[in-house]
Amino acid sequence: MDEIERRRRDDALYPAADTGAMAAARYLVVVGGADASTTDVLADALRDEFAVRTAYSEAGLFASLDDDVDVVLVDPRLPDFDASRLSACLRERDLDCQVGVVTDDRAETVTDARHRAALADAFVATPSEDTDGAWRNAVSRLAARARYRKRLEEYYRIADEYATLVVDAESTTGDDGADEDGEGEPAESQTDRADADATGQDPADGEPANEQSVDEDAAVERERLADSLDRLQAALADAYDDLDADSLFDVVIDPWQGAPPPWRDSAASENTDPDDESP
Amino acid sequence: MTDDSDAAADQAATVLLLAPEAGSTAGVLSAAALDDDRPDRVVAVTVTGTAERWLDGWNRRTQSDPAVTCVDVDGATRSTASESDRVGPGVEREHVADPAALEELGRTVSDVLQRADDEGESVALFVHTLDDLLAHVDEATAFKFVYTLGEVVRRVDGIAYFHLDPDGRDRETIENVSIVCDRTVEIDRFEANRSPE
Repeated sequence: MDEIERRRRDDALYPAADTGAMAAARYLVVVGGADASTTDVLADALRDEFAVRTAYSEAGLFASLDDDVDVVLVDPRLPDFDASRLSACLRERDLDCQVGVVTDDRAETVTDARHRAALADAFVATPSEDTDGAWRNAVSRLAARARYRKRLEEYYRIADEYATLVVDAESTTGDDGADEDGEGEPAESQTDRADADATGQDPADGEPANEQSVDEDAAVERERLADSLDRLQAALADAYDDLDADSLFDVVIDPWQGAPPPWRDSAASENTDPDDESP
Repeated sequence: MTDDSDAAADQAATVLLLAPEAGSTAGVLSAAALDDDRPDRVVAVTVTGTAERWLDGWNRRTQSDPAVTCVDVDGATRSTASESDRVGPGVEREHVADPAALEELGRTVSDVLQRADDEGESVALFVHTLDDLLAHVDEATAFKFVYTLGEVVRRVDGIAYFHLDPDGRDRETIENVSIVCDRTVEIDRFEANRSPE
């Protein structure tokens, strides 16, 4: 994605005057199941609340996945389905969607249970007339986690760009960013950052940025990124309270960071505990 | 940090603590950063350093007597029973085996913070050090960990100090972490070892 595309996407995702637009966007759910009629019933039960795509094969499921997808609901009885391939696909494409494995106690096999243990962010029971609300709520919880994670990823990406620009500006002006005012004093707070970007002043020494030969385009870009950071931070704080997770760290950090992914753990294949049905 | 510090500092929940590599003086550094603040409980996360060494430095520098919880990362592989005994009376201790398992570390620290909040305790958290964590995870993961832990600390009206050695990091990494913290404080080796007044 080039810079112009990225700016357009940022502007669409994070409009200056309306951070609530992010929360208002409909979540996108992919429902993958072996049986078309059953899969369509599941999808139809979600359509008034979510945008929905359907897939009836592993290949179709993979073709349905992109950055816009928030939740993948997959029936492990999908033809030729392999949990490790789906996990690898999500990681290779760097997709931050959440995976719910559709479960049905009455028909589950040991193989299904192994897929569940290896893959799922949550287990989602198939809906019935009595549990339709619970089905939607389970999908909503997954979607909220996915959206939070995407926002945090975006927050990091923009922070990284911002940091690069700040360091570039420092090297241009010869300011190494050191605190020259004395020990124990704040070097630069977030409030300082916003004020500095708005006024073109360098908070470290108070000199006009223009007199320090700071590139104007870089300064404008820095201001734009600072605005995006502030909006994303506010949106993340708002979304925090809506998350339904035992631990926020489960949502934002890959559990196998630095370790083998869980599907390589043979112990996972032994997990057939029916108590695992709860998300 | 003092009681008459400005409003922004009073509201800070996360502080990037730029200070030399602490080693045996990490506890001294924690006490120096707190200055006159007196939380009911101090929570120290140690990665390369040990809880024992942190406590030793803490007790040398501080004259206050808050409750202490040590979260010792990778401690299970290097601790012995006798070391556990030396942590001291009244000091709670948690272990996280894998420094790359930030999910587990975050959950463990969150539980400690939540228990303190449930008991009505004010809390200050120290992570010694981000450098140690960055030896095990990439910068993006460390960034998300700092942000998320900051959100947890904010919810219990606490304050978290994330220690980073500026001499061991490039400016971009420092700037990146500073963005996700409410304020940045620099303490040099002399200041950290200054005797309490």
